Amino acid sequence: MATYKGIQGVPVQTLASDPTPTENFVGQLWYNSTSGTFKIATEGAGAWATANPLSGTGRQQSDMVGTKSAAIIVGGDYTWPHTYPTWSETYDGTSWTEGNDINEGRINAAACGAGVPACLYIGGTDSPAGQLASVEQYNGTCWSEVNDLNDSRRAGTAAGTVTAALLAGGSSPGSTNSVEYYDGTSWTEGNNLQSPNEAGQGTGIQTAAFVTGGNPPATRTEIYNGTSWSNANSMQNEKTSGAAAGTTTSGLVFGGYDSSSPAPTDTGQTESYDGTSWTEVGDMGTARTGVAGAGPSNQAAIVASGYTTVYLALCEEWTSPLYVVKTVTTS
Amino acid sequence: MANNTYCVASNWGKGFFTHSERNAFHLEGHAGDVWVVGNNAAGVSWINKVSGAAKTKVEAQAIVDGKVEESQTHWDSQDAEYKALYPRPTKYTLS
Repeated sequence: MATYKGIQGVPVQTLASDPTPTENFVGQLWYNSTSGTFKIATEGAGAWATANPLSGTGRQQSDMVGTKSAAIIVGGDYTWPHTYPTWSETYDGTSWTEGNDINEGRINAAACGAGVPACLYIGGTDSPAGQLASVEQYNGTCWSEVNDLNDSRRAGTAAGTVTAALLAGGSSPGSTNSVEYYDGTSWTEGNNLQSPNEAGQGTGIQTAAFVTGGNPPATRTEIYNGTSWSNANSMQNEKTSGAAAGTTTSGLVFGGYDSSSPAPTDTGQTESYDGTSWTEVGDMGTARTGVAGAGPSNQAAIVASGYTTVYLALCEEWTSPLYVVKTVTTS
Repeated sequence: MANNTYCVASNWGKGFFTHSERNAFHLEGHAGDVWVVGNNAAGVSWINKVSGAAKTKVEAQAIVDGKVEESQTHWDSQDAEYKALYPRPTKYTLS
């Protein structure tokens, strides 16, 4: 009869307590002498977990950049007629703290950058029917105006850093496929999207970005390779006014408004992109549209704010994969 | 058919539900602090953890419907610009 030692070359370890499961432990088997059970570390599906809420009131149509340990949320509103607050808040991985105000209150803008140290807040609107060309840059402490876009617009999608960014699509008014590229000083019009896109979800860097979904709610995806935009595989579900995290090879889109059957709804759906196709993964705990979110990859992201029946200050964090310890049974 | 249970609990933030809890049972948050929870041991344990007030599906649905009706009343009182920008909230059935 084959034995574990005979197959693996080493005996089963005996441990008094389970180790913290990490990638390095996946597949390892041990005997827990305290519980008298065999245990194994496995790789589980990703999931959202609650984080502490915004320090201020609930809001929608804000923007966020950063990570689960350092993020900034800016803009957004909770009133009608809109009052276009100038608020921003920063997140340190535990709690949100009110930061210095932006110069021009707005909603439906776009944001990109490295997060709390440096980011751009682009376009948007400060009136029901209008759109802005103004751009603000955050230096880790305060916001200052930089050069305007060539064309004012709201609900565009931004990617990149404060020295190399792009703004794709938006409404100017009416959905546009125009894309502007930023070199740290000025904006230049360049290669356009294949199709107009407004209120889509997207992220990335100036030479590798994606835009997906959009209004009216859609599933289409476009990828920018540094030269041109091309159509890629579509998402599983229609989505607009959600948020995105990651890159063109490790992307995540979450929340928003889904107009597909059985009934239009604010959604908590989350889809993960591997550079080729979209896969539906675990839903957010609280579905919502008009959300703000960010993150470096499809393995780590953060979402806050949004609207579903009420304005939300709720925050959730995405982690994938999750490493877990399971008890070995014979069933 | 979904096998869920229902409760009301206020989301306090970090630790209210964890990654591992999300993988152990179904969970959906709704208006009125209503939570639809997978009816298994992990789900019941989570309801206890958050001191959730148990509700029947009918009771939970009534709370959510009431919140939707509030937002519908708010939407109906707004001007045409608002109505053009935002869809009227609609009632839906809890799973």
